Amino acid sequence: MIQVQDLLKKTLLKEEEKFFHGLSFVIISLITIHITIYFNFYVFSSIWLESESKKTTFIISNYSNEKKIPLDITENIEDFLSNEDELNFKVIQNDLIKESLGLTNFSDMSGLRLPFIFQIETANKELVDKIYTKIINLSENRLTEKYSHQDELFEISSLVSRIKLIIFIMSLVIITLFAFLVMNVVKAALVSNFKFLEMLQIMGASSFQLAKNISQSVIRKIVPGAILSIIFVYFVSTLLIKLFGTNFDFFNTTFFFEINIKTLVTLLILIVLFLVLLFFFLMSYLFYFFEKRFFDKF
Amino acid sequence: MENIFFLDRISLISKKKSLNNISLKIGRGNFLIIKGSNATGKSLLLKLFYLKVLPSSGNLYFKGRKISNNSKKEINEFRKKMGIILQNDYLIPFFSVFQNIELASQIQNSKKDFINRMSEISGWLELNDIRDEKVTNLSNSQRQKVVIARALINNPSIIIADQPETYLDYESKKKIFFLFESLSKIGTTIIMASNNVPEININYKLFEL
Repeated sequence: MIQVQDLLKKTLLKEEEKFFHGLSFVIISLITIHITIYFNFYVFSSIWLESESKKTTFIISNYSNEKKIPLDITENIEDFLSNEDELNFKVIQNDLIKESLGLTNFSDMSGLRLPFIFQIETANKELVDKIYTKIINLSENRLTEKYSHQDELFEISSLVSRIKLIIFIMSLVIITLFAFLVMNVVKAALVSNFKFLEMLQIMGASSFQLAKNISQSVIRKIVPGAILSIIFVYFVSTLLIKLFGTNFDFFNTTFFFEINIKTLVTLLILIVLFLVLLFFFLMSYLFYFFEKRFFDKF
Repeated sequence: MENIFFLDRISLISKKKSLNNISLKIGRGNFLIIKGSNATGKSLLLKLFYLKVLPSSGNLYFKGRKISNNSKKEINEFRKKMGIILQNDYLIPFFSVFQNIELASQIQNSKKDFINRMSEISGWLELNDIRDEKVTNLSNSQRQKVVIARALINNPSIIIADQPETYLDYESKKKIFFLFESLSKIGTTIIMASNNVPEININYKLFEL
């Protein structure tokens, strides 16, 4: 038993089959690379930026006669911060301060006077102000400076947003170009085989059925290239993450596994969505193509 | 008698040809031969009958219904009830004779009784020996018989044929005309274009262009 769809598959785009496989592999690779970059790198950086922008660093300077902030004051501050429910905080240890300032060779016996530094993480501005006032009291009016990370990150976050937008627009442009390229190749094939298709129309084949069958045929030619491109891009992106450690918790293997599985699932969902959209776009175009030629025009 | 086609003062005006003010009634079971020399517009008029063109002016009625640009769904259903034989065969070259005929059956959703009908028609048109032959390997007269078989497979109520005798020898031609005549007697409407009225003793109506 022959099927009309098999016939269309054998008749139309037979010569272009390899071209379609290659083209879909290249173009869908480009699209998936964009998607991967978007999700792996920039979404992650957004999360990082968001969490970083919630942070505020407090620096309490010593009096001129103090080598370091007295222990009872730092303990009071830590107790106070621990009792705040909505708050995460982290005290920066002296060793870390010395290391970041390149002063590791200085012993505690040296004249080095280190401030008390801690970071809090909250998006609640009122809470930050409340803490600031309280800390001034707890530090017994020592010089207390407050630095919101959001102010420092403003430029970076605006840059990241712009890059994200560019990637998104680029992938849209590639998708649109691909859809139009496929449409034109199909149109060329239809025009060169039109007498045969016209005979099917004269026999009573509906424009909708023809459009549906041809679109299915075209999508089937694209699917192998699309699957190959997903596998290719998935491995390349995994390799890139592994090589450059682009995600910030790279050494956490659970996280690495999670981000890779997420990437694969996201890619699969997006490619299925893309192919479904392409199918409907092609079907609409072909329906229009056949309806336009339903009657001969004088 | 039920009117199948009613052409009410129809004009068909294309860039190359024009047919003016044609009025014609074709009833169920009529056998109409449209006669005319080359390039007089026979094929153009046949296009009107298989609803591929719409009249430039005048009204076309099919089974009492006025055909217009908006009745595409109905037209598709009407086309499925027709058997069309065109001058160019438009057979699928890499398909066998059987597959080419089966295709028409599939498109017109008339799979019922296909095998019996196929063997009956193959017998009439002497296609039994070449059923599995690829169309590319056939002679012109064999191809023409396949086209006729394709038009007949779904037991159409209307047969529209553009010079079906082309490439056929005298005996085959005679056979086809007798077949058409007997089909018209059992209620099939036959509309046929021809350069020459056949010198065969059959009953038909003549419409000259």
